[in-house]
Amino acid sequence: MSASHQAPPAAASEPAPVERRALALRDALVDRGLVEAGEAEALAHRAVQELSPANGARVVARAWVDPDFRQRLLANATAAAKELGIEGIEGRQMVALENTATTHNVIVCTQCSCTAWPLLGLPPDWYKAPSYRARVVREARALLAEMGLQLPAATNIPRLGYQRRDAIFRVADATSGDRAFHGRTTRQSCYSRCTDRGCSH
Amino acid sequence: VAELPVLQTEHSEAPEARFSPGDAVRVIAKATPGHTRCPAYIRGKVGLIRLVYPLAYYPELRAHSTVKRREHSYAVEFAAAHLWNKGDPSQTVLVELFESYLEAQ
Repeated sequence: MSASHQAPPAAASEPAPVERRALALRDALVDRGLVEAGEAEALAHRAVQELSPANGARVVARAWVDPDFRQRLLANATAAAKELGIEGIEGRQMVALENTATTHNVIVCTQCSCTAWPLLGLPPDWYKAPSYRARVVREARALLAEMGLQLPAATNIPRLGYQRRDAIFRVADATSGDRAFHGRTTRQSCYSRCTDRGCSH
Repeated sequence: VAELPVLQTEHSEAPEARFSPGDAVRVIAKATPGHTRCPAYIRGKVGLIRLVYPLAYYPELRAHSTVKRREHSYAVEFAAAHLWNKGDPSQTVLVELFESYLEAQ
């Protein structure tokens, strides 16, 4: 029988949507006892609900109204965040950098995707993109302008390069940074160190 | 498993950090193979120590051997104008670097 007489196999021509494939994989893993029932749902809940940039916003807002907390945050961000119940992997050694009227920080990990999960959530695609990682250490001011943040010419832009490091555009986002910036309020940026787990990813 | 280089033999951990905030350091120019956390764009460049971090596992050894050794790491600040042609004079780059990547300037 020649191939031209065969109808194309429907299953192969049109893969199921990724959601259905993921659920099928989950069910197969549960059926074989490789993961517990509910484990995948718990992980998804943590990724979407618990690892949220709203945590970072809460920490920064506390620092705005509590000078003692602000000092503790700048001295040891990991311990200060823990005071608010915020901690976990990719956040075992976090550092806060403070934006001022003349200095703006922005975070990047030029080597990978390191960021402080407990405070900022999982890194978004743009943060992991080679173009962002390459350009922010080279021309931060122009890149931030393209992303919608125009900084006054007098503003310095330190960047925590490499690893995780680097600073703060994300936190500004997460904490209504534009409003904070124009209001000249104190803002912090937080990052988690690659050495947290040896940056094995 | 592919053969991976063991880059360094084990030596004892130094309890004291070799550098202090304000020290000028030069990043080693030699490229290290494997899972280095020393980015290429600052190799051979001079910066200032800003922050000193506690002991952490040295990533090359951790990735490519069974040896685990901790050392200090630092946030080192570089002037963008020193790193790039036509670098923004108002921009600096703060990079986290392990002690093995640095030499006194």
